[in-house]
Amino acid sequence: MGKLTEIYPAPASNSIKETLIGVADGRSVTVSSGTYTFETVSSVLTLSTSYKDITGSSITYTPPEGTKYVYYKFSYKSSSAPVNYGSSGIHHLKLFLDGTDVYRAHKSNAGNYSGSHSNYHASFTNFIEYVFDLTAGSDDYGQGKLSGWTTGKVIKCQARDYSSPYYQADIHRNHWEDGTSASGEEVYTKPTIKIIAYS
Amino acid sequence: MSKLTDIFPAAASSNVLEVICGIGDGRTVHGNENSYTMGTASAIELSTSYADIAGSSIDYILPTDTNYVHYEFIVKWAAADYSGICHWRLYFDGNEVSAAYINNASSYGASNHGHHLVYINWVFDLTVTTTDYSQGQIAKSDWSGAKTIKVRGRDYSSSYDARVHWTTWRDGSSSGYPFLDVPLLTVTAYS
Repeated sequence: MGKLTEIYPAPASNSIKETLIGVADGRSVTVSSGTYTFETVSSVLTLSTSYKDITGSSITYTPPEGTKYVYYKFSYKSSSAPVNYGSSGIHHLKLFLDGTDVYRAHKSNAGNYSGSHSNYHASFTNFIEYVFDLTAGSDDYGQGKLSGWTTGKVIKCQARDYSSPYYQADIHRNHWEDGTSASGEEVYTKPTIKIIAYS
Repeated sequence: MSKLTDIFPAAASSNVLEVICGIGDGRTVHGNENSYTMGTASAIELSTSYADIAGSSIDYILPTDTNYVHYEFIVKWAAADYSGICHWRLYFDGNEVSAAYINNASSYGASNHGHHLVYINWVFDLTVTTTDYSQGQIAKSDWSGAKTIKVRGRDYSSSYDARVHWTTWRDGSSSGYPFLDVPLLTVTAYS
């Protein structure tokens, strides 16, 4: 007969309730809180001077019961736009929770200005991440603080260019491949989302 | 008297089965059932031919009931000529995951100041019934035993050379360069 501690082992000590992770290729992933379908990214997202949703960043998430913190990370590729005015590709990023701008999460990315607007080499892997605090006494979405989260809420990112026609940026884009211009599927990189619910 | 389930509660419901995490210094990392030896990185310059990136390779054995494997490789990149345009490809068992292809570069310029981290990641989906290596979809029947996951890289041309695991400056000086920036490899198995 086994020891009682073998039959009833101590519970795991980590505070991770669940991790939802996936690539924006349309897959559905089932975790303890439900089944989630990721967006499908199949092209480059060209920005403008108005904010637009970043494809692949959106997910409607409901944390498991007892969750105190929700970590969201969106990993994506950016490039200065391959146009005469791409240069440093300055772009601005926002995070939204249930339609409200989480202003604490604002950020901007850019390469260095090379001295010519026609050089659009700047090309990086980037991410937007944030921790939503569900232990707050009242909701303050702007700072990502909530008094609770029991139904599906949309988390997504938006982006825009700094200006037009200079400093334009593209999301998901790869300019080059094997010593020449990228072609086929390699023109873009599918982004990933990672969500961790902590107790 | 307390209930038995109060005394012996169910284990946490986390779907993380295993995390293998290590830097590229040749260390051995022990997982739940298997051990993995990380590659040993050194600061090098790439060429126009693809080469394995030291520290990126792991011969990974799935834990039981794995549905997803998240591969993450964080590598230091530096421009050697102008913007240091670099190409990165991810491989599973010798097959390219073309959907994970990445090209990076700094802004164009002769100063070669561009130094960045590059994040190469993919979530292998093992819930599929048919393997599609290009999309990182691997049927469980095609992942038995150890499978090698690794990154290969090259630069665009000899006019845009790139370096990896490389830092040129430290403490306000380039004296003694190149300095080694070791890469970080993390593999997480999820149920």
